[in-house]
Amino acid sequence: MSSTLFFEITRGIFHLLLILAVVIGTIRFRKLSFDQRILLCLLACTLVAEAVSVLLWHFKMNNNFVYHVYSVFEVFFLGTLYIRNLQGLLPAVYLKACIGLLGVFAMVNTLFFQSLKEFNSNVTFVESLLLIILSTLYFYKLLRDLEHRKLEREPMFWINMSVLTYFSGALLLFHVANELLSLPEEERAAIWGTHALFNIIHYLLYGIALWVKPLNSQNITGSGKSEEIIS
Amino acid sequence: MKVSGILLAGMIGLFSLSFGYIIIFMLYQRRMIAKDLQQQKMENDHQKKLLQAVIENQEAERKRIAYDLHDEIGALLSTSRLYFNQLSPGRAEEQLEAVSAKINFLFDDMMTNIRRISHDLRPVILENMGLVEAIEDVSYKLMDAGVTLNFAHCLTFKMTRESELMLYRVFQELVTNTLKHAHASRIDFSLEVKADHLCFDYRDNGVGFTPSTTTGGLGLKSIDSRLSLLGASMQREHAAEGVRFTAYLSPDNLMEYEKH
Repeated sequence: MSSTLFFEITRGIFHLLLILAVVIGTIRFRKLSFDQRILLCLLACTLVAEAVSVLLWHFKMNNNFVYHVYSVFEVFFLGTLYIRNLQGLLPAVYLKACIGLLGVFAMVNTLFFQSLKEFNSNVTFVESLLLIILSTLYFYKLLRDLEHRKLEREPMFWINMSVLTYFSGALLLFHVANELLSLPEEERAAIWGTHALFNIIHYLLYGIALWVKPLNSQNITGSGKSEEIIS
Repeated sequence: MKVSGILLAGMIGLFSLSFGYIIIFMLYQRRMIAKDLQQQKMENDHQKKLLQAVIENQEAERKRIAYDLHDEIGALLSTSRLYFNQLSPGRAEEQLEAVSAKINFLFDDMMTNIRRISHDLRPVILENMGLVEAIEDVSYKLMDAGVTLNFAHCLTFKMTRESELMLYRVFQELVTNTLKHAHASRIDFSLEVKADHLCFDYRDNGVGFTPSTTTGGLGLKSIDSRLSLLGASMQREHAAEGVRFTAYLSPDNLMEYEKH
């Protein structure tokens, strides 16, 4: 199989899984917890961004500006999830400051360093580092507090697993994304195909996060984590 | 292919590393939860045993009170009734005086027994005077039994009545054990504040104990149960002669403890 075909197949599967995750979330919307609803909003943004990106690519137009905007939304939604779930470990003010700074950095990067025609590798690299740190901290909190006896029923566990694996795998790629243009197409396709493979697992785990029903119906007003019934 | 190969290797390596980290985390978390559950089970079992000891103790006390009331007071009342029946107008004056004296004697005996039962239920001196005076009162009774009680105290705060009763019952239980099993001639008991804690220190010069003879003891479980309600636990040790029981109690707990 050629790298280009590999890239086409993996990208197709990843788009399918993304659509499936959004459909699952929409059907189960009323039963979703607050965390799951935030994830659904993120996936909806991702779907829109990917749709616009594919459309522009189809018409052979530059689609890099999409990711300049999308990164900010991604950081916002994932940051909100971590602010809610790292309470007791990290003061929310620090996380809010990080997210704010990243948003400002994204704007500064677009204005002064990487134009809308380039892939915003600076921002995505910093974003990946931040999310890797936050996901590691969440795993530490799970061990420290031992709140959740059945992790597989906890949506945030699946979201966190997805974030850690995807952004770890994609970290180096985001750092050198713009430099890959000098490589032959076959090699580029192999690299982005591998990235699409990571995305498949990424959205598969997000889909599971939307599918699971937490042990105790979590409040949907967003006032905080409800206590788990210890069975 | 060299640069792309290195990049691919790096990407897959980091991805695999993160997956490996997650698997290790999940295994470790399961182990910690299992350990935590085991700990909780042990604590629950211990609490159940203490509660059972309290219930058994209560039942034993009720049985004793029922026995006292039925066999002693009840018997005295029955006998008194018989004598009352003899108080008929046709009797000679000397006979009436003798019956009256007998009835008075029986009533005195009844009142003594009722006072004793009432004192056992709730010692009057503890209610009216406090813990220190109640323990000093016990020392006089122990002297009659040939046991010397050396009591040292230095209380710098006022505890609640319920706390005083709890400590008194613990002390009472220890004295009962000493009298029943230890064959001691001396008891040293102190209640003193040391380094922000109230030190409850009891020792006797009796025969001591072996662990096998004490694990099943209802009295000792009752002591543990009472002290755990006050946020303390009893430490037992063999002394050069006899035994020593020590507990450290927080003055805050003693000043706040009320029965609900």
